[in-house]
Amino acid sequence: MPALRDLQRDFAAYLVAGEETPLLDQVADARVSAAQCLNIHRNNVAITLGEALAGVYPVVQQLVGSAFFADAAKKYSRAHPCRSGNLHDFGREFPAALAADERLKQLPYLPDVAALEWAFHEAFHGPHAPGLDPGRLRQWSAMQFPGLRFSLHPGMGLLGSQHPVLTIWEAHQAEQLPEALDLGIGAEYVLLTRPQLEVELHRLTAAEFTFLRALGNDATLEQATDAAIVCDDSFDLESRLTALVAGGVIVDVRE
Amino acid sequence: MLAGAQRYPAEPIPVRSGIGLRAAHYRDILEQRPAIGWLEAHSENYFGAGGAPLRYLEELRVHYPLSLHGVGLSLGSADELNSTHIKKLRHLIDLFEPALVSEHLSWSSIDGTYFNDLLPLPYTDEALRHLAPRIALAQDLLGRQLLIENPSNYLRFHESLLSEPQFLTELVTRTGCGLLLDVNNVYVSACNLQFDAHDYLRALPASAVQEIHLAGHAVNDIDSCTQILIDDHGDRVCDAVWQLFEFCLRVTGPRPTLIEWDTRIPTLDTLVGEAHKADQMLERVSARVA
Amino acid sequence: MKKSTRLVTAAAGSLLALGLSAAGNQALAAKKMEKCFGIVKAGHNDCQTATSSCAGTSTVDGQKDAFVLVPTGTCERLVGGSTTKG
Repeated sequence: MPALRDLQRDFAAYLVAGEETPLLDQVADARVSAAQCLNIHRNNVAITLGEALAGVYPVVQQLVGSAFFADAAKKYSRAHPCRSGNLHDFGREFPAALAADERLKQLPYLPDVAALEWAFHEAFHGPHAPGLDPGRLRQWSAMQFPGLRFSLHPGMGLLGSQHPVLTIWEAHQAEQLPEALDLGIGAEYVLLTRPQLEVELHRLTAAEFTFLRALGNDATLEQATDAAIVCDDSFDLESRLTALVAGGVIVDVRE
Repeated sequence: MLAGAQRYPAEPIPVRSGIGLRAAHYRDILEQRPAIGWLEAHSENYFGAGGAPLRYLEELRVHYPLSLHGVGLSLGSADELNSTHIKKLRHLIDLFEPALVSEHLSWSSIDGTYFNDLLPLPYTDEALRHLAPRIALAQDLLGRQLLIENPSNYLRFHESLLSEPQFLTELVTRTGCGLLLDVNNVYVSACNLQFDAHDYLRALPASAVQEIHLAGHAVNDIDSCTQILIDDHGDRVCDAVWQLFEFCLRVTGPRPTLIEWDTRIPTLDTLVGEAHKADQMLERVSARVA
Repeated sequence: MKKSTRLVTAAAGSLLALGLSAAGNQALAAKKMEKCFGIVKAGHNDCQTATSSCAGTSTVDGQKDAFVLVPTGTCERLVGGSTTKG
């Protein structure tokens, strides 16, 4: 009679690899063979984990088709086992796993689409934080503004890709996918926010993306503006900054 | 939140039927406010820091008593109790003040890897000596009594010298936990493992049963002459389980009863219809008891 | 004054003005960014057993890898751009 830990380890090994196991002798088989009984659990684990991944990555699933997705999910579940009793924590490394999958070389945009879906998942479950009350800015004079630093919303997501990931994502939300989707439009930059209950995806310019990323990396307002105008000389700071405060993307300010 | 400050009325789960809360029904429940006694939510679906699930649950909690039903605590695991999981559950309990908190007689993780399935335990002295202190510890850390639910069984271990009711009875005696009796699971297990469901129900400590679950299951052919029942929560409660429920109520007395429906989720009306069917049986049995 | 400093101080003027009044807050709200639509997702945690878990299908079989080597979904409709990583 194995100790409980040994029994659970044998069981786990069977769930993962389905190999011959001493467990087969531990399981009673009145009507159904021991392997058939154990396979119900093994299949259920595979299905549960696969469905959890499909719940986070529905666009990736549509892009590669459900059969390929199920196979990729199975490989992922073995390489990156779930480490939490909450399935919402499962799947963080899936974009990286797709990037490493040789069979997906012809779909170079796929890991970034996956990264967008993970960012959506995180924004959906992320913390709430009130936006910055613009009245608080009155404690500084205009001349002090260049040195101010802003905190961005802790639940927001920011993502830049060489590929039109948001266009791809949007096309897959529609009832009917267009017959053809042009990848030639190139790079896209996305900001994900969740002002109330729903996640919102905003298409950014390269300069806006650079500006936000700099602010998120603790740059001063002047440093972030510098970075943005390197990207695009006509960057409209005034309207962007007002929109970021109004949209609740900026939640705090300090010197 | 202040310690001891109550945000919601401290009412017990009524001895009526409730329904399992699914995201697909959030808006319908808030708009229609169906006449159901209570709601049960899967705890882990509300472990996020914020967002729609928590906001909807806050709204719904104002209108309905709540039970929190966990699936990921892995009480039967040989690993240490997962302190992160316990803390999140404790936080959720503090936020929502559920009238009941439950988990499963199962394990789902070993050596830190989670399989997110309710895996079977051998019903041995060793497992009992392992599980009882863990349930006691979890109850201490959560500041709450736990109800432990009987799982659906697809296999039994040769080394299981105790029956499931004996094992559950021992846990109740040793830890003061309560029981969540899933009548559909008893039916599924009884068919799969060939035992008498009525004997099973008679063997449980009736006073420890504080909640009942009902659900639909699938009947699958494993080969041309053998069927196996799968607890897929994907259909109406079948006639045989309704009959077993009625027998169960005579054994345990009327108890808060939940309709679970997780796959092929129906309209809210259909789900509420099943709940009202359970209510009718509860009323019949209550009248007979009175 | 360098360009970024000029931009920042100009933006400061309008932010400060907007922060002064409720009307300013409304003007801020009106400047909200354009958004795409959202979705309310279902929770992934539940306690059922999958209906098909007793079938030995290739999509769930842990032992053998299914013979699926190429993606065959909507990716076929995505055209143009570079088809290699880099």
